[in-house]
Amino acid sequence: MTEKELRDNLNNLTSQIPDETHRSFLMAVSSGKENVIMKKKLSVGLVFAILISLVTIAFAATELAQTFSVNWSGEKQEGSDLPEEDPLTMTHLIRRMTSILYSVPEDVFAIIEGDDLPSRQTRGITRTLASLDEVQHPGIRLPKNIAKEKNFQVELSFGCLPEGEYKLISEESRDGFTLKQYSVEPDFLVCTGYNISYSDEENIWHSIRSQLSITQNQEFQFDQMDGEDHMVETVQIPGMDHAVFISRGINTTLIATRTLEQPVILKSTPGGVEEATTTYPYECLHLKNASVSSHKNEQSHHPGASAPGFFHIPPIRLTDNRQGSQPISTNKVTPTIPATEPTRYCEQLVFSELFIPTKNTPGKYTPG
Amino acid sequence: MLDERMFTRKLLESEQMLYRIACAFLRSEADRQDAMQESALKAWKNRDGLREERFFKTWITRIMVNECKQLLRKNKKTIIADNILDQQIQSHTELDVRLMLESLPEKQRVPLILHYLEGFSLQEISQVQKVSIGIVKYRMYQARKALRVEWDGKEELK
Repeated sequence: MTEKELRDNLNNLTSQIPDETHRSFLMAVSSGKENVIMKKKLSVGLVFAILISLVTIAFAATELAQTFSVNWSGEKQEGSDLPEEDPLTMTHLIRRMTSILYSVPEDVFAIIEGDDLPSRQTRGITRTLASLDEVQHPGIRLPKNIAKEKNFQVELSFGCLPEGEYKLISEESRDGFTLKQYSVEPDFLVCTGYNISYSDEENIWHSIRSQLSITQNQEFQFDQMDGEDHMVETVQIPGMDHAVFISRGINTTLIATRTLEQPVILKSTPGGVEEATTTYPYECLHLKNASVSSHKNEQSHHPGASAPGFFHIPPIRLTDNRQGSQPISTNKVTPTIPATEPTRYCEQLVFSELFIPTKNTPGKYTPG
Repeated sequence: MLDERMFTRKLLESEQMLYRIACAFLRSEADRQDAMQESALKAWKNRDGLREERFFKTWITRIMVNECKQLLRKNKKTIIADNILDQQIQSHTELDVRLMLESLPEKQRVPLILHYLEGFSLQEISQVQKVSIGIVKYRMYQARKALRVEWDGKEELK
């Protein structure tokens, strides 16, 4: 058999594709194609699902790692008294801090310190305590250095933070924090809820001179400093144990001195400076040996009340220097407070209105 | 790698060639149909294995040849009535040629069919069988020699 014969014979073995075989082949081609496309779609979906899972797992792992990487004052997780809750979570930290907060006596200035707190946690605590500050715990005062990463402090003081001597009376470790308590020998306290404009300043100084029997030739020493959202001016009077604070801002100015037996509360009015009435919240005086407070409700005041346990502020008369020493309006203020009431006077205070002590003012505690 | 559209086109273009190879290997039309279908499906399934477009012909031929060999092995174990019927329908010459082809070992039969039926070059056959050209030459020589002996013997008997 030659090659040609072989080729012919092989060709004779073949034939045209029957229709049935042709159709089945076409079906196989199309179905194979569909399978491939379906698999491709499935694989793309699978890849997406895997990616999403990986991202979720990575995120959760990061969160977990951050939570467990906290070394909170050397406290070990397994040593926690609350095994049902992670002691390093924000909620637990806040809870621990607020429980300490409530344990601090109200007439004590305290500082809570913690070490090695991650900045994230610190910021969270700052925010939380700041919100508590405004809503529930006006006594919490947040110093600017709270955002330090490795060592943060939260100052605690109920009511106004008094200016004066701060003496460390105790330092203890409590629930993972360091609690430092200070007794306060206040010089004076400044806080109020009234607006004062710069144009009223002269009137105020005039009234201050009157009240403190300061002669014109005595010089004031001004010490300016920036508060959280307003400016505070401190006046030290040489040779006298007097000091005056004027806090300029949205709501301002209450003046008191430690040695002044009859503290003065001033406020500005459209007609000039006048002795403050107690129509609106935040007046407060806290002196070392005497306490004066006024309540929100004006009806609670009893003009002329002088029963034991009540402090009486006599009326004062102010003059306006700018208008030829003409008398300006005065009002009687007789804020009262029962002597038996704890000295938690200023819970209504918003601390942004408070005086902020600095190093420039003698006898002041500066945290951090 | 070929895109889906091009791959489909190439697959459809090779339909006739694949069917002829199936015819050379398989007697039964049902088997041929199966081989055609399976080849198409396997081609899609293993599409990623086709590295370059120019290898498509040999690549799809190898799939078909393997499918035919698999069916032949399966058919050896069973006697199918269709095959017998087919043999009756086919002419003596065709039957003789088919029997001679089937008597050849697969390694020799494949190059013979691809070369003389589809005009595959030795290089293309070597790609299908994944052997060197020399081996293809030798196998074809062996196949031709065997067929010649067989054919001459039959002629003498006639």
